[in-house]
Amino acid sequence: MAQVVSDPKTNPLRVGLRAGGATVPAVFVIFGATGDLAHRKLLPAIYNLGARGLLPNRFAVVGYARSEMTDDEYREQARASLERFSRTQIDESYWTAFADSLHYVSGAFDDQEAFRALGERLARIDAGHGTEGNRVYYLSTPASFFPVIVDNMGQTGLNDPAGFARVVIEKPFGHDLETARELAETVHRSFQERQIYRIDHYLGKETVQNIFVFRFANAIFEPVWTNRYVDHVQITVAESLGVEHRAAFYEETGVVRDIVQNHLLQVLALVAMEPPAAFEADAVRDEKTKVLRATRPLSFENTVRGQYGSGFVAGEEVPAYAQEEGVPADSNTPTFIAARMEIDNWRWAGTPFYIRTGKRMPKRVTEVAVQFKRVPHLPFTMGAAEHLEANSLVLRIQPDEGISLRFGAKAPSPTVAISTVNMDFLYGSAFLHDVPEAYETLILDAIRGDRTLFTPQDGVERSWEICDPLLEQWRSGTPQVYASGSWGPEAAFELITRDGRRWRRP
Amino acid sequence: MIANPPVELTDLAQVERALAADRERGTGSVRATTLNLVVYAPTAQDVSFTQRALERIGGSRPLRAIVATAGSGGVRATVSTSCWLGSGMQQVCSEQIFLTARADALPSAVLSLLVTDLPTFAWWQGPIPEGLGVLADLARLSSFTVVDSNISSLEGVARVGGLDSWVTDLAWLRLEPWREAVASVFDRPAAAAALAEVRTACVEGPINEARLLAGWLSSRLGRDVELQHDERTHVERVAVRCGGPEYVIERPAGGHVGRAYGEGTTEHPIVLPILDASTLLGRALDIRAADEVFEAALASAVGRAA
Ligand SMILES: NC(=O)c1ccc[n+]([C@@H]2O[C@H](COP(=O)([O-])OP(=O)(O)OC[C@H]3O[C@@H](n4cnc5c(N)ncnc54)[C@H](OP(=O)(O)O)[C@@H]3O)[C@@H](O)[C@H]2O)c1
Repeated sequence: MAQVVSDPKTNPLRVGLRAGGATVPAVFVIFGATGDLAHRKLLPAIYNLGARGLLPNRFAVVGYARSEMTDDEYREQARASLERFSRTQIDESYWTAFADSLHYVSGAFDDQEAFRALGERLARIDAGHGTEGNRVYYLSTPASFFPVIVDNMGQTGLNDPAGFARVVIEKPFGHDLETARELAETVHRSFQERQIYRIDHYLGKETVQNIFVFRFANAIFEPVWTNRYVDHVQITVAESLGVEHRAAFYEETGVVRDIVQNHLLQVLALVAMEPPAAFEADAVRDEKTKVLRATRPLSFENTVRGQYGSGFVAGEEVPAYAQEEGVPADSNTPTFIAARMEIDNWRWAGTPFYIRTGKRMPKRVTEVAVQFKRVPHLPFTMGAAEHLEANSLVLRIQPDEGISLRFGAKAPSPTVAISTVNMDFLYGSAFLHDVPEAYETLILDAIRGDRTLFTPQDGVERSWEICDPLLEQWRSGTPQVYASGSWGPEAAFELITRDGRRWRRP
Repeated sequence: MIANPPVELTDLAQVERALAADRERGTGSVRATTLNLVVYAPTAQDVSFTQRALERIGGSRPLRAIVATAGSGGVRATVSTSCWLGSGMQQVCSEQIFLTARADALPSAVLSLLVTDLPTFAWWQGPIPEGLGVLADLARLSSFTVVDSNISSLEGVARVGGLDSWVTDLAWLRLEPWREAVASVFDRPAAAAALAEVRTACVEGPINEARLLAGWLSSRLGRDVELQHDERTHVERVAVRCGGPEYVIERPAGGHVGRAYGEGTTEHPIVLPILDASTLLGRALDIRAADEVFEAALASAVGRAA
């Protein structure tokens, strides 16, 4: 059937209108609609998009889960979660319209009859809401359910509606390369790659997207963004929290699967990628994948693993990982990694990327520090430049997003004395807009069909190829214990000092 | 919001120093400023209205506002800074300079106070005078001039458009949700065909917004669209007639969510917020380029009336 398109070519009234919102009608189907993610993130994000006028005018949400419930009961649940979790207050006049667009279908994931009933319900909703057979399916369930859900969608025709079908899946995308491929094969049985939206909510954060703008919208940084001028790059993703209540999950996962394989490699790719021809899905994703292809896999020799011991974080005494509830006393799960990484391409050969990430660090901070080389010749007396440090440019992602440039300046004195100064720009001092939640950005993109911020399968596979050899080597041996509230084990410092460099103190 | 106490000055050369002292009293960190906003506020009532609007938008767009009032005697300026605390420790700060001078001295006084090399907006609140006068002087200092055709006239807005400054009409921004709603009706291939048949727009709302909407339809469709109008405080209903079929968008008076219906479309709710002056001003300050769709709509609306 002919699809609705909000295209200025066919509809001249569209010229100059609403670049930001979604216009093509659709039904948003949440599998696992009663779960934690649906209530804490998805429903509030959809509500806020709608209240800001960014959803298509013809739109509906259908929740699917096992619990028996009527539409009205689901609306009540949704209302309660909005009251708890939405970043904005509920606007009563919009709530009425939003509630009308919320529906619920009860059924198990392995029940094809229930899927057929869902399909019939969706057809009725199309008739009632004018949503034209367009579907965005969101699998908000543990990954173990993906295969059965996707297969049943295929067998009951939910993957092939009258309009378009897209499927959004949450990480983890596999546990290693092999399971990542299996998962892709499963999903590909019912959907083509271009219909699949793999969400890494990290990429929806304004601050992460800003790395891209910073690099490619400013003429002054890109020319020096190479091994010719950059001595090395440091990426730090530090959390002050411990494992909290997720011991079972974390025991299975560990720091590499939890942070490195997805978030950290994504940040590395954004920092190191070549400029894409356009900020468009294929161009951006290809460049990111290309730089990951050039990134050498993590190796045992160039990494240090740690596990937090007891200690103090921000003045509070905290227990060791091995003493946390649900963690076996002899657990070998790493909560920290420091690594020296290399990118074998024209731009970066010889410029190492040092990464570190861990739990129970002194504070929560994510930053990228680009350390420049020293000038080739200092035309000053030794004494004048004694304390001069090399230039560095720090992109702080969280908290207090900003950019800080370190350079040398003449200290006021009758002779030439150079000291190092920092020039800070805090993003938040220039813009105090209410920042959308990452899920809002990503859900809107999925509804609009913009895949730029979603991870393609080749990118997922490459990131596993980078991590898998190390995960294999780490099966044996034990992590070094570091005190909670420190920047990791001693060996992490040696990893960088042996190269004649040192970690920044974020 | 944290506001530093205002400082009154009679020497404009002292203004920068007073603002720098405000910065010192704050966190002492570097602060960002993203634009100059020059406001002409002829009466005390305009000044306090401006003050309230600045309180609403200053936190999301750190700016230097220069609020100019014509008066007798020498130049006087009252200078203050307001800061808003963001997440973490960072502050967003806006500076306000309330300036009084003889009308003919105002433009040069304003010019001396603009932050160098930032986009400058002139916000003209009242009716647009026949001969433009001070408005023309302020527009010449600015890249963008913000007016509201609802409180002046479309013809006046068109005259401002003749100056060397891009014009943003708040009435046009107020109409944006309505334009989006009307456009969305014609996204369906079946309805898109009906576009060729659009003859009449029936608008219940303020006359100038109604004329702008009809001008917009005419200029987009390249054909004269007749306007039928009923006066209301806000736009409440737009019906587009295409020969036989009619497409309607309506919103209950004072409500925020309306509905859309028409031949071949499923009736559906639609978010149509009533945007207040400071929200509109904030949006106007985010526009950094000419709006050709608006220019064509205005030209069509004005041309037809003439
Ligand atoms: N929670 C978070 O903050 C978070 C953050 C990032 C990523 N994620 C990812 O998001 C996904 C969902 O996580 P979650 O925490 O929301 O999970 P959850 O709270 O365990 O929710 C699971 C949902 O699936 C439904 N369900 C379970 N078994 C079912 C079956 N056999 N048939 C039909 N429905 C069934 C449950 O419905 P009933 O209750 O009706 O049985 C519930 O709605 C996971 O992939 C997770 O990794 C979660």
